[in-house]
Amino acid sequence: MNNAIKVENLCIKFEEFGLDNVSFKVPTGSIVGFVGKNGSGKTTTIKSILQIIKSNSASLEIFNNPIDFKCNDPLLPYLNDIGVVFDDNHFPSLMDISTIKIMMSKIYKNWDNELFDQLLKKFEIFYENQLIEKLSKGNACKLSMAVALAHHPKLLILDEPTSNLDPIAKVEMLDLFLDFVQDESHSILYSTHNTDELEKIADYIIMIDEGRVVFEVAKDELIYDYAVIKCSFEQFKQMDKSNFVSVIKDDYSVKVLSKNKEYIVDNFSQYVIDTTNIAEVMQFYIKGEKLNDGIII
Amino acid sequence: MNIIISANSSMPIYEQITSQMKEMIISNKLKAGDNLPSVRGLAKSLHISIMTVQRAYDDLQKDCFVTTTAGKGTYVANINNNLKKEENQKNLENKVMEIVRIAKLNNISINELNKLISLIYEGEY
Repeated sequence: MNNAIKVENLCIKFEEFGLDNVSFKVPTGSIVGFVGKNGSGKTTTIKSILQIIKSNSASLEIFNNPIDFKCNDPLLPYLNDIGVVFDDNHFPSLMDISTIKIMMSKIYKNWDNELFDQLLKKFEIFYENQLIEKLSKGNACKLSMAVALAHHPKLLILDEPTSNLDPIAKVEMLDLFLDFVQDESHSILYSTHNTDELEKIADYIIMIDEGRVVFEVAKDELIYDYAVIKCSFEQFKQMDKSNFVSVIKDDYSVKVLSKNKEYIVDNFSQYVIDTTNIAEVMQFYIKGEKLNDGIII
Repeated sequence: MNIIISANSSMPIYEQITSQMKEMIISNKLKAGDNLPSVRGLAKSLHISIMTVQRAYDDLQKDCFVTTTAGKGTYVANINNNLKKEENQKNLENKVMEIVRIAKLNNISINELNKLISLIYEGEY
């Protein structure tokens, strides 16, 4: 299988935080959602893929090409094909949009002035001479998105790009992402807290917590094969727990996550069985007591 | 062609797609040889993930409703009457299973159920 990104054993050590053997893939042609609570290591992972942060050890492949960290600027040959959007503005605040346009056309080999103008028009950003510092947060984000797309990348790396957008603009962005992957050679790594967006458009979900990948799963598997049982404490005690992954106990009930809905429906039909969602599964992995072979660990 | 996806349905999205497409094929709204939208195109229009549409198309192909040619796309297959019959039979069985389940849940005997069905079938209800 072809991968736009393949990371293996990415480790970084800061004083109080680090990445611990982070490994995952972004298969070519897919949208991969990257989730985790604040400070879990999402941005650090993205920055080290982009070589903004130097990692201690890792094997990294971009478009199936191994990246040699010993090189001075190992990612340089691929930067034309990668579009990046961060959640905050990274353009000089006293520059205007026209200048940015000229600058980008000199930087990127495949820069497309026409597409850039089209996107700005679509985003309703009309003032080409407007200073970056005068842009609203939402418009600054849209500008980053336009820059990322206007150089015709094959891979988009997005770090919470929609966090400052209104609901209408968010849907517009989803449209753009789906537009982008109409080409089978295009892929997106999409870090976000908007898990409902990922439930719509993502093909895979990767969750990271405390610098570790806790799960990497096809989204449809999570939505259709995972299930949550809700029951009383007494009922929970008596259950066969072999197909349970994690348990959350609150004041009045016990919630159990399983990855085998078919088994759960066949064997526990007397209890409340719900489908789950990305946010709830994240809760289970962070707050829940984990189970291994039916034993709480 | 209309495809209506409910986000609140208990039926998985890929099943909503397959069942609606099967219905259109069986009722001849989609004819043999008609081109289905591309996987990516449909995903975009419906605002759902590519893999979900892919799964629906795979299922349709497995059930012989469509054929996929590499590089050309997905076409409605030449389905014969047996397949239509089989599909209708399957739909009927599923509905009957649901009816029997509800009957059992409410302690309605098979005789009572039979009586009810014949009444409705004969149009006297």
